[in-house]
Amino acid sequence: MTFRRLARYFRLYEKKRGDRRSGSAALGTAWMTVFFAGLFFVGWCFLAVTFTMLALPEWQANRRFQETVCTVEDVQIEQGERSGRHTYRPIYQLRYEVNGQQYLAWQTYDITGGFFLDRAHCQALIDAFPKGQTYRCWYNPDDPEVAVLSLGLSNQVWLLLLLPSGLIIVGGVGLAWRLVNWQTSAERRASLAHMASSLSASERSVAGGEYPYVPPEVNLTDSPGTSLAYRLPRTGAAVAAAWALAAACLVWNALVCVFITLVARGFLAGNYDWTLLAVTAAYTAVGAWLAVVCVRQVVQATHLGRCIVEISTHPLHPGMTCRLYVAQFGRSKLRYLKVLLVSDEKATYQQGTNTRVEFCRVYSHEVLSQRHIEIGRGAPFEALVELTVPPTAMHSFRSPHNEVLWKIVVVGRARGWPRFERTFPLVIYPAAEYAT
Amino acid sequence: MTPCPIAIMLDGRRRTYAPGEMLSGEYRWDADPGSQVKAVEVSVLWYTEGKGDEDFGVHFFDRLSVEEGDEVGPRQCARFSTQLPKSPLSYEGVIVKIRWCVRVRLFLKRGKVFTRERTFQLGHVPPARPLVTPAARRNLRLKVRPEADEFG
Repeated sequence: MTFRRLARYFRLYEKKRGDRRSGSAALGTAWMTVFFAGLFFVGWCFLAVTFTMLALPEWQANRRFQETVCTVEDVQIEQGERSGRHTYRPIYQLRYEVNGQQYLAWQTYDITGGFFLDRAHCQALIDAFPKGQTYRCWYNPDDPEVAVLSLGLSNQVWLLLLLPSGLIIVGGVGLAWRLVNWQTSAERRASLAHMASSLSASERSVAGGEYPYVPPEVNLTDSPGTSLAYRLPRTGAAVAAAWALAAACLVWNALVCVFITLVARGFLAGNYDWTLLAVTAAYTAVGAWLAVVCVRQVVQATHLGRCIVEISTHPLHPGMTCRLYVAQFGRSKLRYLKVLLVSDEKATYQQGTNTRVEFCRVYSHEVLSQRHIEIGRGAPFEALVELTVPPTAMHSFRSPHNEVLWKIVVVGRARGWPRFERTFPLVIYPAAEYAT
Repeated sequence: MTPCPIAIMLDGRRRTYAPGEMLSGEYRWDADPGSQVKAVEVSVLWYTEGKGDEDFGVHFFDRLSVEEGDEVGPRQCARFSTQLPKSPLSYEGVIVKIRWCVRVRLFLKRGKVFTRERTFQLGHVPPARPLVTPAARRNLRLKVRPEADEFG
């Protein structure tokens, strides 16, 4: 008997891709309604039980119990069991008089008669009421055989009352949302949301305006250039990556310092822990590598100097030609320097609990390419070039999970240094023929 | 399976529109005479396809509903018209695609919902192709070495 080779193995575990439904939408909605209704119901049940068993007796005792004086004749710790664990509560034999009649009975500390998981907690309440002493107590006028040494509402009861409120709120809001949106289409919801103008200011500027879903160009034109009209801002991704690397380097090396201290203390005390030493050596190696990369990046950023890109006009439309000024500062010898006009597609999706972002480059055009450049101190490399947006280009687009990005990318490589890349975003509007 | 009783016709049977142009058409529904129609919705919207989670934007929306006093019978037709926006244009990207459509939903009293879409193109942006970067080309060359061929 032979087995055919499977073209693809079955995966035992795979995260759900996106929030797309593979089953019936109506059934899914019905199940979600049942789920939220269940949460709502369980919350109310839990609240009712907590209230009637704990809060109500305390509240009634506070209102109706009468004060008297009692003598503690005996004290004991009563033992119980909950989920396989021992629990404890103090019980007191109290002697007191009600309407000329003497009562002698075992009573609990308060009306709830709750058990403690901690014996010491119970012992503290035993020690607070020594035998033979006289104390205030409160008895039930309807049943004088019931008396307690303490009145008032315990904090635990109120905390327990707060617990089901979470279930009630989540279940109630979920249920209300499902019922309000029952048989309401996504288009109607979007239309109602639009009418209610509940969009935030940033969303309005993207979704509304003359060109809906084209990102605003406000921060691209608010900085005037020295050679051309506008100086383009640099995207913060590279800067953020450098900061993240520096933070990671600091945290890691702080950990390494702790390990080194532990090893040194051990060795000084005569405890030779070779496993800890091996782990510390490995951690130190990684820490040293991180430090080298971090220092290299910082030196590269400072050594290469800043890069400036200015543009003669903005916004751009497909087919439009404009001038671009590029300046690279910093004393260095560059093997090459290239300026590219690129377009990337960016897709964001949920995979299980992770948010993934994917990029795909769909256009790249070399605007400038130069080799063997020597940049001196105070004499930056400067170039003025013409930039033409392809006539059939897709405009810039931004929605919550999908984007079409246009940018100027400056790439280069200095001698003895790795390749560097600096990105300057652009906004391209739909073709000028549509602008009128 | 019950066939969808909705039909959407765009005026002039056009498939491509320029931004800012007027889009108009007719939609009709022919439900079972015994069934009661609760509401009919028509919307002009764009939605994304591709790797990312789906986004959509409603440009035009109209609802005929019995609850709001509209006369909605099991067999009827209605017209719609709207001026299309300047963006986003239809786009056939690699991992991001933008599609425009007219969508009609028919809600029956028993809870059944029928949906029909008619897609159209807004603008004339040609499809995008993935760019093979020099690094990707190098990787590709490495991957197709004879020894890497599983059928070899």
